[in-house]
Amino acid sequence: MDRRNFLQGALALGCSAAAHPLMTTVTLAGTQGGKPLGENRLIVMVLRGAMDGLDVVQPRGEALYAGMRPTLAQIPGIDLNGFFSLHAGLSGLMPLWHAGELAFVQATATPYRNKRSHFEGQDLLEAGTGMDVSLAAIKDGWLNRMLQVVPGLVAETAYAIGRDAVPMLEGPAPVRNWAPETRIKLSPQAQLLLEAAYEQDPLFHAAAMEAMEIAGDAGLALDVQGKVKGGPKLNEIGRLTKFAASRLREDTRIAAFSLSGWDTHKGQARALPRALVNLQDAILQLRDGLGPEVWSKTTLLAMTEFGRTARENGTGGTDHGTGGMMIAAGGAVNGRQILGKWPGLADADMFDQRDLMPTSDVRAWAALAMQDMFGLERGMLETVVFPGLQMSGEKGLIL
Amino acid sequence: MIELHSLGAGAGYSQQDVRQLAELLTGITYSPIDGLHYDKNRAEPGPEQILGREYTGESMDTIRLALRDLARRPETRAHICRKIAVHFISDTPEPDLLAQMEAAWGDAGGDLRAVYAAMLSHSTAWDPVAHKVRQPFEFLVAALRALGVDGAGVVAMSARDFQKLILDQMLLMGQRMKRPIGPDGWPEEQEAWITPQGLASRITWAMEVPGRLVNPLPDPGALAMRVLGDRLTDVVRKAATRAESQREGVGMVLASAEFNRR
Repeated sequence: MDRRNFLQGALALGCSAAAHPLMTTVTLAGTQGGKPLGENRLIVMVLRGAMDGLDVVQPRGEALYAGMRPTLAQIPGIDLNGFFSLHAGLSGLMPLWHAGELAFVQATATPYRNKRSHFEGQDLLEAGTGMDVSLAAIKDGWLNRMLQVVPGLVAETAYAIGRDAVPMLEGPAPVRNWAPETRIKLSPQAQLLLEAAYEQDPLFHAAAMEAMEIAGDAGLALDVQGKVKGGPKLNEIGRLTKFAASRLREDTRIAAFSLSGWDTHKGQARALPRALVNLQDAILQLRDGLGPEVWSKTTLLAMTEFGRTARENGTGGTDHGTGGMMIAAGGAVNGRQILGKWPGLADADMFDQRDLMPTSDVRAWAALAMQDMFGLERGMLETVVFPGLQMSGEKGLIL
Repeated sequence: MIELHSLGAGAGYSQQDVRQLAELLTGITYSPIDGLHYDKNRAEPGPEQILGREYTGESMDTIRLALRDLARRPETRAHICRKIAVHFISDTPEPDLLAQMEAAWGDAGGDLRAVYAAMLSHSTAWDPVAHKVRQPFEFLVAALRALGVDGAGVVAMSARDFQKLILDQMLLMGQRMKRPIGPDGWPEEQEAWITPQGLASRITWAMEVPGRLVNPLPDPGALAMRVLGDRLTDVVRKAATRAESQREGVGMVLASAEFNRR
């Protein structure tokens, strides 16, 4: 690493919204009137902390696998295709697999190499650029750049939902923020008085009206304990998916969440299932919340900043690696398949003899989904949305 | 340093200047024992060319010289004066205000106190129309002061209350205490703060938190007159005095657009 890159890295660390790993956020983009993106829905989930793709979709058919993971490989998985097995923590997704609504891309990664910093890795994943561009120079994320080029899209109906910045959707296309835990609880009299008080100030009036509308629309009148009125107490994932589903059933076409808890340096056998249950809950609750009609037009992509070391470490965990894994779920997905070229785990086949070798660019799969679902042009995807990307050979993700 | 904190974007510097300055800064390091200091062994050797001047010698003094030169540039003067005026007065400050601030900078050799004095002696600083929106931190400080909670009162809060009633709420309003997302700091434009999410969080704070901080709550009508003065409008006075409860009356005052502007 040269000194300039070190300085640049330090700057990116200071800049990073990824520096708040406990934050869960969801981003939505909507359209009005002419529905420029059509009827399909894209949900992007950022798995912060680097998911161990080799433990989630386990290459049991790989002769070297068991020896490299002496304790983790002892835990039984669920056979997917005779070569790969699914982690038991995602057993609730097997009905989706059998229904052809769940696919995986093994050995995929962003262009991030050799540095293994969560913050930089997530910044690059959200910026959607290559290593040739200074992260400090990137002012927008790839979902925002996609919004910028969709003709007729009403940018005012794009929502960034969550307490924190959502770099993937940040940029010139204006987005709005909404955290599902935001409450606006006013008595009818207080609401009338406040509306009148804001009457002379258009900025405050518009924001207040929209806040009341969002909070009312989503049916999320939460009390202090996070309970929906008359309903069960929802956890953070429940609030997030309920709100996201309520929007996606309407005019919203794009949603992006982030889920954290994937940085399993030790005791992965206990730590990973805790993250997986959130992921599984989020996918199943979204499917249920969207209903069969909308789910059939939905693609959900779960991507992470990088993978983890092929070998288990001395504390039953894995460390920051390179090649990772992407999950695709939804009725629009060409499921029940494991995509991506499997590179193998022999020393010579690995990156730096320690990490799974990336055989595809994770941005290409996202680009493919946008191309197939929204009809976006390849040339635009390769220059504007993901500058420098070369889509080559990726196919078959979307029905 | 050049783009954000001295000359400003578009001020006629090149990427080469940025790279050269970065090379000059190598050598600055920090350790808990020595604090901020210069380590020659970490420095990029050789002279650096920045904005047409050559800087030689691997030392903190050379870096200070370069920083002084940056600070003395006319572009820096214009950029910093504008930033100050935009922060305190208006997102679109009048040219005459900027000219007076820049003149004061020149006369006082960059002494910022003179710049602030020039800003405050200009008529636009006293425009009765409040052009700026209080950022969440400013809103919370103003609200606490309005309620009579002083610094000692804040220090006396339990860590849990401070987290839940102040820091967590400030985050929902869109501002993480002392942690802006980028090195360019917090946005100045009002639209960045008065979002549905941001305003909903201010309203909820105004309605629900004061009652947990002070007992008894102030009389809403008197509070409105005291904190808004000449800017108190008829509708806000009505909202404060006709609310169903004292709690909501106080909430109306603190949630009002007038209280959230400055």
